[in-house]
Amino acid sequence: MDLFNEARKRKLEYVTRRHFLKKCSTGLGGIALASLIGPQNVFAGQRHLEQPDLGGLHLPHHLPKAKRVIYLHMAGAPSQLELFDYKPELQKLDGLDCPQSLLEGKRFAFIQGTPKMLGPQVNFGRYGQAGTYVSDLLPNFRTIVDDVAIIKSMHTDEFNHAPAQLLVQTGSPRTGRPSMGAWVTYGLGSENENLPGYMVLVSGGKNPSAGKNAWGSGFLPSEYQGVQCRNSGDPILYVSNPNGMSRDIRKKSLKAINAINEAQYKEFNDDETMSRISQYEMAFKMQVSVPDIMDVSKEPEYIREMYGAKQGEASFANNCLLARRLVEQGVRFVQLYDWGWDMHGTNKASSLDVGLHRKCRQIDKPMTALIQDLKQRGLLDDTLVVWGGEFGRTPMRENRGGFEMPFHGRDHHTEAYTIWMAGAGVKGGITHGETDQIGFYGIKDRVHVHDLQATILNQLGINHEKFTYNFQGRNFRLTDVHGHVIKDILS
Amino acid sequence: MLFLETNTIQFFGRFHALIVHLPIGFIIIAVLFEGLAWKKKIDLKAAISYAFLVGGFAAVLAVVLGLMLANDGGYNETALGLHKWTAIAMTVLTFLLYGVNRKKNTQIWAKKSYPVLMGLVVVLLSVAGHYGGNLTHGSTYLFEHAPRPLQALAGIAPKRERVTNIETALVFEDAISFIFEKKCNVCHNSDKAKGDLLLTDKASILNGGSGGAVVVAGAAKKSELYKRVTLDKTHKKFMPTEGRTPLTKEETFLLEWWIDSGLSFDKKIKDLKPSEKVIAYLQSIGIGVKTTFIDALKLAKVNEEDVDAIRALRFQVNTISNSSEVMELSYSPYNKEPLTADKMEALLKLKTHITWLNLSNLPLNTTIFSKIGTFENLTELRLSHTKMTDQALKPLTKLKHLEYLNVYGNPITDAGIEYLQQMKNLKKLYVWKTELTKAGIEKLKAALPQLDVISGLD
Repeated sequence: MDLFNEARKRKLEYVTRRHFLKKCSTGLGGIALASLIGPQNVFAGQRHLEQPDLGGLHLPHHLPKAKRVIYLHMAGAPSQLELFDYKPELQKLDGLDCPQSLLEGKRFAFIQGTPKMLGPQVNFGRYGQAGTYVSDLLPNFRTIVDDVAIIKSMHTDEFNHAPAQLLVQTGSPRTGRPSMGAWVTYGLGSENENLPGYMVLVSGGKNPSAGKNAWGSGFLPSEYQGVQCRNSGDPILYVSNPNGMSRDIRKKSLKAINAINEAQYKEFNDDETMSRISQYEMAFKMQVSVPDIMDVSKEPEYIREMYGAKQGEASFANNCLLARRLVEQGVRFVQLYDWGWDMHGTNKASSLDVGLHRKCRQIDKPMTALIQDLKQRGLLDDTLVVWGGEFGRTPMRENRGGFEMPFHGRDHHTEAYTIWMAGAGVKGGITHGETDQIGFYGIKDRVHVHDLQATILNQLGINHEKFTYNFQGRNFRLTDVHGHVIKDILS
Repeated sequence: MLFLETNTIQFFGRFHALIVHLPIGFIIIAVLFEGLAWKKKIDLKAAISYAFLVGGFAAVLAVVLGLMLANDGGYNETALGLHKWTAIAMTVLTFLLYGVNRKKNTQIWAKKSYPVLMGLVVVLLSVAGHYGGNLTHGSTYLFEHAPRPLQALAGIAPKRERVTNIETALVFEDAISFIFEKKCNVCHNSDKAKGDLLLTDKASILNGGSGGAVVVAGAAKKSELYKRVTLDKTHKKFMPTEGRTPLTKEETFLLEWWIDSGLSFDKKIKDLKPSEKVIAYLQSIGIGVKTTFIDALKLAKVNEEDVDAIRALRFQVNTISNSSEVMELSYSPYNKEPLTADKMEALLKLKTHITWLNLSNLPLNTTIFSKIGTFENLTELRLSHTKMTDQALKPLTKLKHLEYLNVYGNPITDAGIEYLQQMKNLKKLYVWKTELTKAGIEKLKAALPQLDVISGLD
């Protein structure tokens, strides 16, 4: 049975005779108990929204280092070989045919026949106390290498954008699973009752190819899905009241709708009805909080300058600044998507020669400012920042259709790529993992996508093996049956 | 030809552990019935007779399967011999007992020898059973958790208390042997040295197994022991075998380190100059685990009513983790009602439980600051943008366990350093956008060398 029908069946099951009888026994017992405890505790507070019933288990499992996460996803997958993973050996092989041994049994998205090796297209320098290699394309980032842990041995299972993005964000390459942010807000709730716990910011242009599934709630209640903010106009559609509708009238009408929904819930016991009620309530609060928090003009000039943020622009810089504003207010999970990193070399914009330079200029200053700004405010101690794409790029030059391309480009590569993490108990100034001399395979301390997810949950105080949700007759985890916490990068 | 490619003898042999409990049960129930018949004067003759007979046949089956199992080798010869011969003797005697039992009402010699014979069978049964258990679980298994006096009675030497302090712990006895004990010695012990390999002490490890030496000092990658635990889990030769828990990444790394650093049996960990990674990994087997102040804090259970009362005042309060009673508390600046001293008063019930406090972006007054000073177990305190003055720092000097203090965006001047430098445990201090001067911060750093002062960029 597919996911959709499974979910529908479960909803319908609430009104079967068996459920009625079951409810009678627990229901009557519950009422009796409730009268003993006293009325104020029956539906105490907003337990439904704040703390899901995790089978009597309260999260976090252990003392958390991180309270919040900012995930900077570079959709399209940046080239690790031009940014972090410096391979002078590859330069020597530049222009030579790729040996067959590397190609056998491998699948690439576009490479055909025998591609040529392609050396690094930019220069690197060594920065920070550990002499970490950083590309000349990231002149600002070099100043913060001592605050970040660079992981060079990432690998994944998927070589196409959408499935690979889903694997990173939901733990599965197919749709239907909850995203990391949904899991986290489901488990830990929000720190600020006026804002959603999980917010998504896309820096203009295109949405990631995985679509909204990348921040969906899957089989978790839908109130845990990511709330995407727009870049211009109202940050969230219809967040402001239409003309003639005052806040009081809005409040009254929501009250009436909620009363009807509650009656509906009592009749059909559908969790989605409760989600709807809490979403209405959240939306009402957001009418005040969101326009305020999403307004970068509230920031002083020198802070905007630090990020390179410009009022009213749809940019990664603005989103980095907003991300800081959001975590400052206790938003649990802020997901940023940047786009256009898919440097195949088919045209200027998607080439290592021009396009990559332009993209790096767009992110270098803001992401550096984000780390510095979080640090000076004392937020980096309990905010985990993760930067990375969904896979890496080949050490070979792409030869789409078997021909030489007009520009330099690299194809999708699953075996090795680089990400970095900072803050919240992640060691600064270290490099974890190593790739071979041409950057094809990770040869030391390989880190799978599931290991990264396990580590993110671990920093939030969650044991990824114990954090489950029962659906389709079995317990599901973000990391499925995989994942090991990368202890080496944790202090 | 179903069994052509598998070890048929072992296939049946493994059923020994299952069948072996049948004769034990039958014989014991026969003896119990005999006692019952004698005490209550009831007739259980037929039942007793059948129980001995079935017990005897089950014993024959168990012995046959047992011999098949022993065929595999790897067992302590003495223990195996004792187990085998007592079991065979018991089997023979059980049939004899059955015969004598049938004759005991007609023959006087049978009546007289019957109790003696029965006693003998019970003794043999116990001995055989005990040695069988030792073969499976190891001879120390039974008394491992016995009270010390009982252990002394059983002749077990007192175990050396494991040292977990990284300064004094021994590399073999406290670290490596601990891993062997946990993951390997079920099979490689003095009663059941599979592959003729024992991993219990220096002599046995250096002695190796049937395939020769298992460790090469200074070369983990060449050591059979290391190779076998790092094979692919599906490999036939992977250890530990039979679906037992494999060594963790940390454990294999420590093993590698131990062999590579020269296979020391009596040195201290400290003498081998462990790297940062080794020190970190040692924590996973319980050596050098640092307990933080919060970990060590023993608190009474929080009263749910108190928590609800505090939540009703619009505070956000939660336990920091599932495994402790330690709590974090904050008050959102979005709340319509301002934070007052009265509200702070209500928190005092939980003042020992709250270790993380966040009152940032709220205009606080002197009374509130002095109340904060009474939260004796605070380790992290966030008070940015709270209109905090130098004088407001004074009550905070009472917080002896404070490690993290964030006061950025407050009009604090160098006059506040007098108080800040009394916070001896402070590790991180955030003072961006305060009026502290560079010279002032230098002075503070000189007084508290462990302190990391973050005062903004450059």
